Amino acid sequence: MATQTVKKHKTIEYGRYGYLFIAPFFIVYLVFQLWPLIYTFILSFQDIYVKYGDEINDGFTLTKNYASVFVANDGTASMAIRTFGNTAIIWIFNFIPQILLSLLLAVWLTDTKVKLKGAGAFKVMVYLPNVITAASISILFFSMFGPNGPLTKLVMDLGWIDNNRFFIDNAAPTRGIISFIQFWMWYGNTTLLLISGVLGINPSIFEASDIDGCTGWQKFIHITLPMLRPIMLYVLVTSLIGGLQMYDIPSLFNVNMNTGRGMPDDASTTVTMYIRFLTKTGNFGRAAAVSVILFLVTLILSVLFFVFMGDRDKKAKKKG
Amino acid sequence: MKKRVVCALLASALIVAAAGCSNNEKKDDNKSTTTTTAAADKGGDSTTAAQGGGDTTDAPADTTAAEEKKVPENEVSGNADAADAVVVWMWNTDVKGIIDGVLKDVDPELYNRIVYVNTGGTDFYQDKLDNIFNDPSNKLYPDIVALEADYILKYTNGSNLLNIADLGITDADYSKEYKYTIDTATNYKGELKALSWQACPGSWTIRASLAEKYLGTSDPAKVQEFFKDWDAVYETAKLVKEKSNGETLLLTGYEDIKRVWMGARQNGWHDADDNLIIDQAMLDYMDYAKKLEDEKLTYSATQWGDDWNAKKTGDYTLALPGCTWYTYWCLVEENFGDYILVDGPQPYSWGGTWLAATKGCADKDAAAKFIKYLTCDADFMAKINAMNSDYVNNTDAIETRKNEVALNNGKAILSDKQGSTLIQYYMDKVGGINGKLITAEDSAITGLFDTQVKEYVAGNKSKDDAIAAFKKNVADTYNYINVG
Repeated sequence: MATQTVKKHKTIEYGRYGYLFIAPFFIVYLVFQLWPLIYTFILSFQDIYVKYGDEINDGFTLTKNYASVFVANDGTASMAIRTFGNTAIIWIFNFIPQILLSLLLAVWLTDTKVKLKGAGAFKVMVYLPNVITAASISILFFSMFGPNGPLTKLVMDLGWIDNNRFFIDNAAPTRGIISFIQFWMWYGNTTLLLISGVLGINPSIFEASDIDGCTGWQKFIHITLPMLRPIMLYVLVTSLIGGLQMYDIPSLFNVNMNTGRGMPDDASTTVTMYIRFLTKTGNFGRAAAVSVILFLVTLILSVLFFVFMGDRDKKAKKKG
Repeated sequence: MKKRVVCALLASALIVAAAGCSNNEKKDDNKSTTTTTAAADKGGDSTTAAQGGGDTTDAPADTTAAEEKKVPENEVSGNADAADAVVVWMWNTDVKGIIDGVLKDVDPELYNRIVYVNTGGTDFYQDKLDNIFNDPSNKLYPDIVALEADYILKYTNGSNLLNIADLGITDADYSKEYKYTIDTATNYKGELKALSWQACPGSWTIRASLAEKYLGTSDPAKVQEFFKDWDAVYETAKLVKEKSNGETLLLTGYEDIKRVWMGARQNGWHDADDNLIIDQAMLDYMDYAKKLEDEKLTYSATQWGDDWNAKKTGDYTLALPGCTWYTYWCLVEENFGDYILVDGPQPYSWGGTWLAATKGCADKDAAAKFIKYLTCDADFMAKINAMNSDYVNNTDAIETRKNEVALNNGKAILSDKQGSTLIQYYMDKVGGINGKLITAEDSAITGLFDTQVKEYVAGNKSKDDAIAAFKKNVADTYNYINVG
């Protein structure tokens, strides 16, 4: 009995050191993350901006900043709404091909019948684009598709376009290239996640289906996909959060030098680029309001995905 | 018990080690007189290479601009811990060149007190200034800051700078400066808060050999006839393209003439009551740019882009609208000696850098002395010109230097056919500059305008739609500006 209490006592003592060791993280988090987060909410309700170089604070405002996020001065949809649209378009055109290719690769690389040689090498290779800094890739692609870029020249020589500014003066190619960079950088990551998901499926289910004479397609549709649902949800939600905050690649790709906003005509301006522009021009209150809206949109979309894609089978089983 | 002691020892050892490390780092920072990082180097170099005179918010080449987007680290030289440090902030090494090249010999005592902070590129300069102004106890809080034409009013209007008069610098001291540089730095309350050491009248730089070939003359006076008004420029563009079979074009891109048109404005972007003004000159510029592009009379290069840099080399381009600092920094060495300067359709100016003392300046006398040397002292300014051929902002200094040939790397920049030195050419141009065309919001508004001009020129939008979109964007950016 006595020894037991001593033992208990000892573990509690060690726990105390544990708190000491994790304290730096929490202190840094509180000061540099949580407080700025709260402060953003406070700022978003203040009419604070810079005029002629002087910071002006017209005090509390409930609606002014938020109204400007949705409606422009002339009653039309605001620039903020446009940037949300841009972000969504660029993200969707990156995510759909990404998830399809990743699924395909994940199934092939794990299939026990195919027994692909050098699967490890493939896994490394699909992940490689993610190793390079986003900034470098963005600059690389801009020089390839710029007015003097080799790919622009190639496509021009083939006669498909007649203008060396085609890729940077039109909305669709610029957005398309940014989507492609995102897709190319992240499909490897997604593939690895899905592989781990597929490997987590009980192999006896596949064996049983083989014995029952399932085709590869049937196995994919009726076993792999349903069993992958939780990991797909994870991939979707993390990609969504990352996608909504997309900044580095578009902001280094095709931008106006003075404003830092995406060309042509804001077609590649993402929400975070717009927030940066608002801060740069002193619209602190409105920048905070857009940030809060971005947070809410992310939150709502994530919750929706969880509700509609969550593991209903499990819940049903638990109830049963 | 033993375990506990060991554990505590280990923990304290770790903490001491960590603390020790950070102390060391701090010490290193303090000790080093020159803290250099690769990023800062790159940013600094590229800015110097492309714009040196440091006179524009447009970033240099596309790729370097992109590199600068990653916030570069400050490059600090001098002892910031000294009690009598005089801290100077700039986004490149331009002023440092003057400090090392001239101040060192003229006033070694002041020179030794200077701490130079190079923020590595224009892109984040304003952000960095805004931050440091809120932190007066910082040892790198500036005593003197350099400000560029596109955003100087943002700071002279604000409360972070001292009046020049409060520094003990009088009208008489800067009486030899060009008036437009004073006008520009005077804020809407009528206070003068900054002075410049350079004047930046514009001109058109023409390749003499190409003019000879396609225009039949390289005599500046006769070449000017081809550029005397905008109609003549258009005809010349067609002539050059036709005669060279498209091997040489008149301009790198329509953006090159933007600054010229901006110089033709009667008003800045908004009036004193914050009403947006789109000057007739800007509307005409849109049409003119579209005309040039529709007939493919330029290479459609983006200013400061790599295609722009490429088209300045070789025999691609006949005319390069530039200015005083452009002549030394943007022209390419392979064509030195083959350039002549002509006036073009109208006078204009491009950029310029001003110096101002900050509100929290620790030693006003030293700051005043520094600003006086660089912007008022004729002897000192003549030495700046001797060092880097900059067109200095002092009529006396210009008078003493006017017969010197402008050199770069030991080579004469202008062709003999010019018939005058660079200073002689620019001397009577400075008077035509209107210093009241600048607003505090120039940088962003001009950027928003450029975006819409591009849409109109590319044929994606009608002129009315482009202007409507521009107005909407301005209203969105500056709520207090009335776009009508």
